[in-house]
Amino acid sequence: MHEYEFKLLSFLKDKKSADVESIWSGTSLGRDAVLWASESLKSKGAVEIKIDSGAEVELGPEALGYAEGFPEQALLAELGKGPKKLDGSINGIALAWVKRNGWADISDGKLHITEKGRKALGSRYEQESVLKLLLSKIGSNGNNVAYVSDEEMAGIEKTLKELEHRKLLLIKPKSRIASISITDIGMEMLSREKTASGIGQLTRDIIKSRAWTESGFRPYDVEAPVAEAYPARRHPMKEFMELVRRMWVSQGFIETAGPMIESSFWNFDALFSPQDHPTREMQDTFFLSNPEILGIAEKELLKRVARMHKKGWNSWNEDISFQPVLRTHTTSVSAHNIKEYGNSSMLEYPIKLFSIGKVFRNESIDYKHLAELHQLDGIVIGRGLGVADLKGTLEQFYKGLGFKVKFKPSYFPFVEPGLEASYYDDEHGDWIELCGGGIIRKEITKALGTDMRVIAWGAGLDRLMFKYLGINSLSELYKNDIGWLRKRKPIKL
Amino acid sequence: MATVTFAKKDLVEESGIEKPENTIPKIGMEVERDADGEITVDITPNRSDMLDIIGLGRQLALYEGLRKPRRYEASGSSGISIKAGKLVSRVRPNIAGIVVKDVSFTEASLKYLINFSEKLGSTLGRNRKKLAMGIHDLSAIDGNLIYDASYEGSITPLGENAEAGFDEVMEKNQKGIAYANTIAPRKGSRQLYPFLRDSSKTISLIPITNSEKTRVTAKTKSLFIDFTGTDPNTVSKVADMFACRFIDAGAKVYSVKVVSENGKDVEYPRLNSFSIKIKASGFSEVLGYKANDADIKKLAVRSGYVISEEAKGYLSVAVPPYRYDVFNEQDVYEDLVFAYGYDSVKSRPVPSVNAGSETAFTIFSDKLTEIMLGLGYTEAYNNYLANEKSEFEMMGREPEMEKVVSIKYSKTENISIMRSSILPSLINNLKDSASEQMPYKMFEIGDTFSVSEGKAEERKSFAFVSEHSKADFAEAKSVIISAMASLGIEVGFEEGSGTEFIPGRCARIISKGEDIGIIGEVHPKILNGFGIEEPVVGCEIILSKIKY
Repeated sequence: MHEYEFKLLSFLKDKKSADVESIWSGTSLGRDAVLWASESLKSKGAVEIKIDSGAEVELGPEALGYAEGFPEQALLAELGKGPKKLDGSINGIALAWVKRNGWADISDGKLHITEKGRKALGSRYEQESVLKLLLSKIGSNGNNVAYVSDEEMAGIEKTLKELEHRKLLLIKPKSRIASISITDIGMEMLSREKTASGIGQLTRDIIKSRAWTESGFRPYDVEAPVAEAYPARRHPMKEFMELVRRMWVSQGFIETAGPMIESSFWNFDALFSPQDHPTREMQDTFFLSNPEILGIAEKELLKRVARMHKKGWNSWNEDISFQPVLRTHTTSVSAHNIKEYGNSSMLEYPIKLFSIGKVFRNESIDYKHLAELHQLDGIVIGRGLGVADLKGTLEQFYKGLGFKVKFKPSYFPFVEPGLEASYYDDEHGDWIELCGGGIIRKEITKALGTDMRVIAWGAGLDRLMFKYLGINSLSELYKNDIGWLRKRKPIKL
Repeated sequence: MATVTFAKKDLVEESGIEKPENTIPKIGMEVERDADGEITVDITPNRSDMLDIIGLGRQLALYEGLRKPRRYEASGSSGISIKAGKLVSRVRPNIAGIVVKDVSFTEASLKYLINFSEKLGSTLGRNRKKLAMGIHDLSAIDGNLIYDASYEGSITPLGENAEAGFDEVMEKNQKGIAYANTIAPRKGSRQLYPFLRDSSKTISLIPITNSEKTRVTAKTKSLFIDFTGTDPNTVSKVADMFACRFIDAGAKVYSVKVVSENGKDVEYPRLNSFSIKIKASGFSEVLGYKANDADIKKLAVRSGYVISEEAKGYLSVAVPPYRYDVFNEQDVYEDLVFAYGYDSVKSRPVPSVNAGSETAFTIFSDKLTEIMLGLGYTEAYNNYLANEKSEFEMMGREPEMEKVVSIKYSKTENISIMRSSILPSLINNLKDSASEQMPYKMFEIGDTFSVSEGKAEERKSFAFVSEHSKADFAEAKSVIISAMASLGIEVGFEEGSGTEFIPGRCARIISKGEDIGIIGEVHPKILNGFGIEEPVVGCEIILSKIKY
């Protein structure tokens, strides 16, 4: 049990029930501490909190000045002595209110007291007594706010409204704690606290003065519930990408990166995707209006790729090639890599490379489809590489992620032969695709300037989050609601 | 991807395989659905011949060794010719035709044929622009044919009983509306309609609709099929593909002569089969280890190749005419690998001869992440696609569109640009985080985008925000100073301004004399816009401007 809770329960033990003010003056706990402790105890069933509905009345500075009497009262007292000439010496507010109250009327340019006024002279003024009541409620809390319960309100509402109309105060409906009372559970909790006395929170003074040698410690209820603490955490997708990255690096792969804003040349043409292919339509790919064109500076490379298209697909057009797109796969990075590392004198072959990053699809977004996804692409450049090397490398990698994979034939325009790796998902009772791959077509490696063999593969990462994170919707992942980020499940490989 | 659906019993009958669903993945296709007596198969775009039940059945039977590869030949000339005119060469220059006799349809097999030609037109044919075909009842055709284009004409469209002008068909007929773009004239030119006529009537408005008068039914015994399009090779190969499937179905195919303006006559189907030399050594290279001659022969046969020559050290295989995706020995080896089966391929991980490594930015970003987590900031990861409202309007910013990476067309309404900074996303995250335990502290390391002198720039950026009742400038400043100091980067501050910050409570962050970012207390007018009720401080720097 927290020290505040203990103090509060101890205070309530004999009284059974008390209001916040008396607890606060009787326990040395601050107002916030009382509120916190009572909420916390309430959640454990140790106290009951009775809520009062009513209003908070905030008194303005003028009202405080009227504590010793209202100006119309002073004027009435003067009129009791005799009529008064209407001139600048009469307080305007006082004049308005004596007239409004029917205490005086005007004749011959003079103010005369009425019958009603004479009666009022000797009796209590309603506005004054309400103000006094409010002032007594403010007490010493210093913020000039008085609380009026619904019950009290019934008798004084009309006058309060008058005072509000005079702009002397402001009425705001508000409920507040009327009383806090201890329950049987609370009594039991208190008796379970073995020693009611002793040191609660250890302080610098107690340590330095060695006061602890005399008083001993009050034991806590170590089984009591506590407030939740949240660590700052990584975003799950980033955490997962980091895990995957480490896995590749541990198997001797070098990480690379490439642009997301890409020319159609690198995203499609260099990978032998025909220029009239349906995926190259606006329906599937994000084309850009700014920048308008992304050219290829290296003329030889451009020529070789153009030749490959003219031979394979009977057509190629430079304007189409230079259209900027948001990359639709990270295989574009692999294309850059084949060119970059195809004739390396810095590294030894086989050279193993990978990249991981965002890709973009012009999708109608729903819980399964996002316009932004994450992909991984890997390649190995070397001599004598074949399907056996691809199969072995992928098997080894996925074993690290906990998958036993199976391979089947598949088709991608940039590889030959192509394959698809999948794993058996017990939950779905079905084979789920993990990645696609193959041997990069000779036409492509030649156009990119190397006579090496390249084995390649690509994998989407987002769908694995369903499995690793136990989520049902991909859009949940990128809402970044801090509550979700704090409480999300750990990633389990 | 194109999917086709067949009654399973029909595919079983066609292929001779009891459980075709087990063989389909082995030939590189995918079973999408297998239920209620139907099977739906996903066909990869390189093998459009398998969009047809006969093509798919053939490949399955070959793979399982139930059928031997065969040669395909026409039974002779049909005596029919198509004269291609001058005008049509401007809009749709290529045509081929075949005649098929002794056809025996069932309702189902006719439906499959029609579905096949529809699928082919929409995929390989690029929605009929590159290729389309028309299937006619041969007995309803009078005499020889003329293929040309005209500015007007009339036809009785399929499914209708009255003749209509071409322009009326384009306006009112469902197909006319759907495929208008395939023959849309260039700007400033008049609409030309490609058509096919016999001696008495228009039998096809191409590639829109056939004539009702040549409609094919399950009772039809002989066919004339036209293939038209913009690519001569595709037109010719698809004519071959159809010829092969009818020959496999037991019908007889007769050739049709196309007579063109330049006087070069061509007989279709061409059905010329060319040979490719393959070697055990070449296949071994693809596998990555040694294979032998006997193996590759068996595999070639199971892939549908007729062995045309067996010599020491190589084999010649004839490429079947229904294949349009095989040009060289690499293409054949791919088929051989499929026939060999990935399950049988040896597994050999590539050894490492170089050390693995992460990029310099990954290493830097991990360090920064660690520091920010230590400072109590949770990592956010937002989309890079954005819109003008989220990026500028909500932040009170005036966009300079020439610097913004903009998207031409998006299917999703709220995507129109690439984000140019991270802060708008983070502030939006704070809004979405309502009613959680305070403080909210979040950071993000990611990319931001801009256009400069016509070139796209991708910058590595970093931003953080903090929201709670006591959040103020000093807090943010101490966070950025200590985070940067931990990375060995010194930063300075100079008075700055930004529409999203309170004037006088915003600074530019300076490193080595260069502006690298901005920091400040977010202006309440921005917070009101988001409906955020507690003070927020924010900071963003461009990491690309510091050496990491």
